[in-house]
Amino acid sequence: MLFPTIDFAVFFAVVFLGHWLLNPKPLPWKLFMIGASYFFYAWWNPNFVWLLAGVSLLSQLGALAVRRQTEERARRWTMGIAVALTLAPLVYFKYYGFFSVNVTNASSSLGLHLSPPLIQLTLPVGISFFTFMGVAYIVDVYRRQFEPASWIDAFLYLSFFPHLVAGPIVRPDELIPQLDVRRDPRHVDVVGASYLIFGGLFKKVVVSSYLATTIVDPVFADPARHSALEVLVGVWAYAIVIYADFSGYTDIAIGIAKLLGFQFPQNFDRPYSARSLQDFWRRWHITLSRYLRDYLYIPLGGSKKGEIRTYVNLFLTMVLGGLWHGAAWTFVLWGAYYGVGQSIGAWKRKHLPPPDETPARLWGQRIVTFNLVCLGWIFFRSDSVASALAMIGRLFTGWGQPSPLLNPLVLFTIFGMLALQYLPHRPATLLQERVSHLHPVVMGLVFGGALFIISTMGPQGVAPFIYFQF
Amino acid sequence: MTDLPTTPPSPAVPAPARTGTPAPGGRATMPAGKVLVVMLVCLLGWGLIYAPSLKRSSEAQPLGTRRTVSLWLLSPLATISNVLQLTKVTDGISRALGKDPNAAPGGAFAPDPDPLPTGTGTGSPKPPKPPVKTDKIRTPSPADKLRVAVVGDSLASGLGVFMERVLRPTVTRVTKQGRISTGLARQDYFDWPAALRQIMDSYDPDLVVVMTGVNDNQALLSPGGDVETPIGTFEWPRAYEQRVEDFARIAVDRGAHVVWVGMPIVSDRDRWPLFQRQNEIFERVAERTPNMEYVDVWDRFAQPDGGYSAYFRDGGKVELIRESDGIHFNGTGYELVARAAIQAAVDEFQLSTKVAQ
Repeated sequence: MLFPTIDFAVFFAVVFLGHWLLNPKPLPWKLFMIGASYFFYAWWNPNFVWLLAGVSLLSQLGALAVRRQTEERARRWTMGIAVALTLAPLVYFKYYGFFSVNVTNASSSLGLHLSPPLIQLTLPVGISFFTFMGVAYIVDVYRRQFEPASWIDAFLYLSFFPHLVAGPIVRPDELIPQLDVRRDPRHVDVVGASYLIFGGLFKKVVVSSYLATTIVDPVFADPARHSALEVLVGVWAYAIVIYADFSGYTDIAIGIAKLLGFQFPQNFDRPYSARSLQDFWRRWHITLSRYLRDYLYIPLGGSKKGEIRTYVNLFLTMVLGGLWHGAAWTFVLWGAYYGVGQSIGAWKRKHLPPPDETPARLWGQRIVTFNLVCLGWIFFRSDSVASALAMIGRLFTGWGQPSPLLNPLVLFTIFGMLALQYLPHRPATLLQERVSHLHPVVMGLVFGGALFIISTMGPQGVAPFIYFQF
Repeated sequence: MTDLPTTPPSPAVPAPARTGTPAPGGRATMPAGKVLVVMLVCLLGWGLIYAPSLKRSSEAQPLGTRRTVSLWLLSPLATISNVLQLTKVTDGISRALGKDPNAAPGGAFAPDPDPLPTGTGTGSPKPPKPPVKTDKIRTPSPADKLRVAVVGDSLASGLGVFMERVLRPTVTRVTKQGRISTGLARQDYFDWPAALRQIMDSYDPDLVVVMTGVNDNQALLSPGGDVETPIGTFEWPRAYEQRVEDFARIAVDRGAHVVWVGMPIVSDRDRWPLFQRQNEIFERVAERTPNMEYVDVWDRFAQPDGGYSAYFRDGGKVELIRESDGIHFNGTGYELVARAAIQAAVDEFQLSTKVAQ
């Protein structure tokens, strides 16, 4: 079920009512929310409900098994086996096809002609997200940072519908304790939540859709038919498209959780104002970045095993982070690009004195970082490595040609979205404060009007969120 | 847009206090019951002012329970909206926002449809050229590029992108007119004959590549929404064949060559009988229509035993060519389909091989 649909609006109105009515009764409330979350998931494809339940079961069994072990070596082995079993469905559904094609082709070129069965699997929506959360749960129990939750809490933690299909990746200690807090039905932050929801809808339905159809899709489809300027602006536009799409989804998810009285962690923090690639990853998909840091980079040794090993660990972490986004060589290269970039940044911080802080340097760093990020997006968006290279090649060869795709609205949208990265929070805070004092009926009419404007400005139908495929 | 502030990432985010302190930023909070009122007023208000658009979208849905229920719910809202003159206000706002409030619902949203070429389409059509039985398509040059139009449903949307990529930009111009969820059955949703006439009059393509049919397993409706031929009747295949022929004739009668790409094999075997019957119709129409060629992509992408495979084996190399829905192609697959369509034009219409790269 997609958030920006009438189906979801009806579903959420019912869930909202049931949630607050059952709020004083913990057990019925939890059962209701699990039921609602599984219904939400089944709406997309009922055949994969068993998968969500299976990953939840494996995670809880794994956490309990780890806790039962007292000897450290046994704990480590139990944790390793539990994590491997929890990851197995993700590996199978997401990477089997990629593996089988590459093994077949590589062996063929070597004259071996191995032929693993060629099966195309439908990737269950959200599997990458709820699997990672299941792994975090097991590892946190292993690290003694978290005690295993009850069965019902564990199942609700992994299936809670606001984060289910595309995050944010909420850690056990961020959500499970909230499940046992009785939320106060007298104080719902409706305006804070609505600001997130409507802002997210606008970013997704209006901004992302407009730039995607106007310039990004044509340019990436065939760069040879477009000028270098169109390609350059198309790449900048894609940076806005993916940001508006994914941060829009996250804002809606956080807003929905807020209406139910839950706090989710922030997932974006003005990423295109970053001053370095490292800074970018502190601001982009924050819950994934910290996940990779805590559950991959640090277990690999982090920066504690020498300088060279630090760079290797950074590289491996980013390559695996790239592969998490999709089973394709483009994502591997995208991850490797950041692995190299992060390593160079780490080397510079270690060996070069920090430069003077001047406004010119600050803006220079921001502009360079944004364009380095855009270079990475070319690999992320392209359907093959050859297409990505064709895009990059066109940036050098297509100057001086007409650029009919460029128009003032495209440029205004791109630069407007970039400028908003630097907007202070104060005006939005004041606006929310004003709206929050409106009478409920007036507030509803204002929100209805906002919804109408968004519906009218957007295209008919709703394209799936980009991150659903991950 | 700036990132909307929530809570800073921290090891543990505390749950909201039970005492109900004011929300951050000085916002006033509200009891859950009143929030429900806000939500219902919002949805009702939006539903009321957006009802005409929603009703048009519902009318375009396939005939069935969902469509019936949607219309049952939306018709009173649309009536109220009209009575209260809200429609005029919202239509004005829609126009101000650059949208035609009375546009047909079909085809407005697609991965990358080019805007339909401007032109009346019906006002003063060029006199139809008599179909010429010669098979030769003109040889393009950089000064006079070959004009190619790719039309049809979502399969044509993907095909158009890769047709453009496969054809040399120096000697070809491609207009991609694939529109998702459309077909020849539901002219009330998207009137393909009218759109093709508009494309022919304005763009004057030399070659029209058609790929459509995946959404045509339903009753044949007129542009006005009248059911002309119900699905499942003896009349349906004949009526559908007539629509296919009429559609192709719009292009060939105006001097274009037509390559009609058939339905590909799909993973859902329940859809095979209809798709194969459609392919028989496409092929039959192509046989009797001048300058029209049918391209089979059923057998081309089927396994040796006739079954479906998402992969294509070319010598020792294997490539994934289909999307996971078992219907559409991925980029690799669309490129193969595009090359097959171009090859058909080369073989049958003596199209210069230099147009492809």
